[in-house]
Amino acid sequence: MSNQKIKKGIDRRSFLRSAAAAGAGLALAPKSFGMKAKSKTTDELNVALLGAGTQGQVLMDTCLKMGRDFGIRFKAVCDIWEGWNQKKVLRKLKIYDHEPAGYADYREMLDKEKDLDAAIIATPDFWHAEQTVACLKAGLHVYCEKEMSNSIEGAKKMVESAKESGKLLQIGRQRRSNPLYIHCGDKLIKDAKILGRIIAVNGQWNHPVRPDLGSPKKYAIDQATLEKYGFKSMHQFRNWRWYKGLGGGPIVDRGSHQIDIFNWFLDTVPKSVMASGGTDYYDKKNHQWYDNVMAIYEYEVGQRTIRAFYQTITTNSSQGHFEKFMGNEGTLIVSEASGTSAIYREEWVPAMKWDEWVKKGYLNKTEATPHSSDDDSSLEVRASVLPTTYDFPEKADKPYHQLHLENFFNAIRGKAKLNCPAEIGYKSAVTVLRVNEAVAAGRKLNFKPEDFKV
Amino acid sequence: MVLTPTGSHRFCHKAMTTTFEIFTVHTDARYAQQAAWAAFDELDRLERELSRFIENSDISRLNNLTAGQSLLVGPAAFECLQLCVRMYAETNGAFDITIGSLMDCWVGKDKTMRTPSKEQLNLARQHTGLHLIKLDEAQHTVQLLGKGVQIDLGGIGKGYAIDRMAELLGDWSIDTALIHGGYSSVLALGKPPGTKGWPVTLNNPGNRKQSLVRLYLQDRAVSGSGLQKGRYIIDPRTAQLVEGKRAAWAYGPDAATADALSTAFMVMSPDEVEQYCCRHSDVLSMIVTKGRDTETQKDKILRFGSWNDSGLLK
Repeated sequence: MSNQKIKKGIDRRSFLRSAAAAGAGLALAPKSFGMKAKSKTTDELNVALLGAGTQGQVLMDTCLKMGRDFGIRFKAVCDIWEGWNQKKVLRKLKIYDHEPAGYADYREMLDKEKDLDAAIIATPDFWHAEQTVACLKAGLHVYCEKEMSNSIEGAKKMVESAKESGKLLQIGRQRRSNPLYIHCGDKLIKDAKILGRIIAVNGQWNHPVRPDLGSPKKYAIDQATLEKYGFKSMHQFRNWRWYKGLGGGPIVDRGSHQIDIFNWFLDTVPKSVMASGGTDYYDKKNHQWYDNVMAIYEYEVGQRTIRAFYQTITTNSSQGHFEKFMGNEGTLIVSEASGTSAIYREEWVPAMKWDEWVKKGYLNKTEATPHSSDDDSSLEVRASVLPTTYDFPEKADKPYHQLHLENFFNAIRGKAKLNCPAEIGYKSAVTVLRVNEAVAAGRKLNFKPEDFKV
Repeated sequence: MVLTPTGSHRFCHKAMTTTFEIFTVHTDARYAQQAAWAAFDELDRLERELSRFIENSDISRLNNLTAGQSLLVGPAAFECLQLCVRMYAETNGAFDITIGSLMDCWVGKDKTMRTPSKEQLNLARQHTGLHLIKLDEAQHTVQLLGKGVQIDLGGIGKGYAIDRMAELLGDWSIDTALIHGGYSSVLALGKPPGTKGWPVTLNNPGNRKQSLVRLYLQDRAVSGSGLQKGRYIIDPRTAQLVEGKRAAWAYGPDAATADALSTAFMVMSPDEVEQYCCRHSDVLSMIVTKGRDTETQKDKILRFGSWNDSGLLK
């Protein structure tokens, strides 16, 4: 009862109309009538969204924020949660003048939608391989969220299918297109070798305890539909990441992004992995995958071993998420989290060595000037000054996935090369999925070079 | 806060540099908790869109634009800016989200106050005002018409987020809830069973033991603003510091409006606040003005709008 009342009080749509009428500073441009009837220009891409949940919505929002000139048209939205996810996304797309059709079944979508150019897949992991392969076979380019699949076999099929179809398959490891990450990996580590000899790598994604995801009672999916799409219950549908056979657990959900950075920045794949993990906090019945996992990889770089540690803890959020590269001359901490990336010079390394990289524009430096004048004094004595600090010239000031999606669409248009094509995505998928095997095996597993090849 | 002992739940979450809480009365504790977390997830999402401290938020992207450029933004930022435009017009410029440049004139990087020159203030005033922001409803784009415009939704973002959280709780069939952001923005959904509303107190910041108003909140919002230690308030219309008030509260139909109005009421003169409440019968206000000399002139407590008819007061 009371909700009705407040809805009346703050009915948003009518409110927004009155806000528009109030008008100060508002440009009341009429909706352009030609827009909807406009025929597809050569550069415009027709896109289907498969999976309109939290991540699907992030990707869709990001596509919208690229602006109308970028030429993305959503023609179809596919989600089995029609009353909630699908409805929400269709409504939002309408605001931005897209007129997509809604589907529950992706097969029906592929049957009916004949002018699609690309699909964005953000469904639960166990659906990725089947849907990606079907979309590629139907002649679509595919942007598929990580993890490629919940199984190595599934991921392998995706790579093969991309090769056979000649269509593009981009894996949603968006850090691969992040200018800060590209700068750190390509310029600072590989080109400048600013950290000296890399000794160790350390990454983590820790987050706090939270209740299982629920769903609004009145929008529950019926049991027959749930089962048709591989879920035993609404609870399993909402919390698929925790179930064996559906997701890969936190090591895959979180680690997939970051362990990919280990491979990328070290420019190789590991020789071995050992890992320990378990469901030690949550109820094992509905948290089949490990709620905390720690893994150690051994990489061989120039006949030396670099050990890389990764942990994900789902019941304590200490220090959040980052990847840290430690060399004998410095430390690089890089993270997608706003403003938390940093780089430090080891004290013994002369500042002059890094000054060169500052001059070349690889780094910014904040430093107190050593002298106030150019007389011959050795020092100017004054109030205590702060030590020199370094910062990055690159900023990540666009939505997290924007550049990665743009890279995908530009590659379709022949204007770019994929930053995370299937074969690269596969190497990291193998690297990450083997952690769960290592936990189960309880011993060190060695990788063979052919493990990473399709 | 007095709650019915059975079936009452309280959840908290940090966001927007403060703590948000949701109180609910519901028979299913687990369901209530999941609903609250869904609302907090929405709050976090909104913060990523609206915070000027997050480098890729819609607001940060707008603040990075040069004069004349326009940008397509998400629905949250667009709606919030529409609201800001309305509140700017309704308060004759007292509520202004572009006050950043003026603030920089008065408050240094070390957060101490300084006295700017006339020239500095005139320059900053050129970067101030909602007339510099053009919203295109058909395209969902925002254009900045002047240079150096810095948008800060600090005076409305919490309220806006609370309204959206309430909407989500409604979708979850949660009819009885109280949501607050850092105690300064509060929205009530329904009322606990067997009560007249969610009991809420407004106290005198000069003497927090002195309760000025106790009210029963139901399907309405109330928001408070005040002069916190080390913080300054500037009147965007005069570019001068505001020093005459200790606190202001606004009671209104939704949390975003109340949030914006309590900010504006700190800046507006008592006469202006009175006129605003006359024109908007769904808004009530209370302000505490500062006595110039505590010996001879005491703080004044002024109430505007139909507080007594509202049946709110305890």
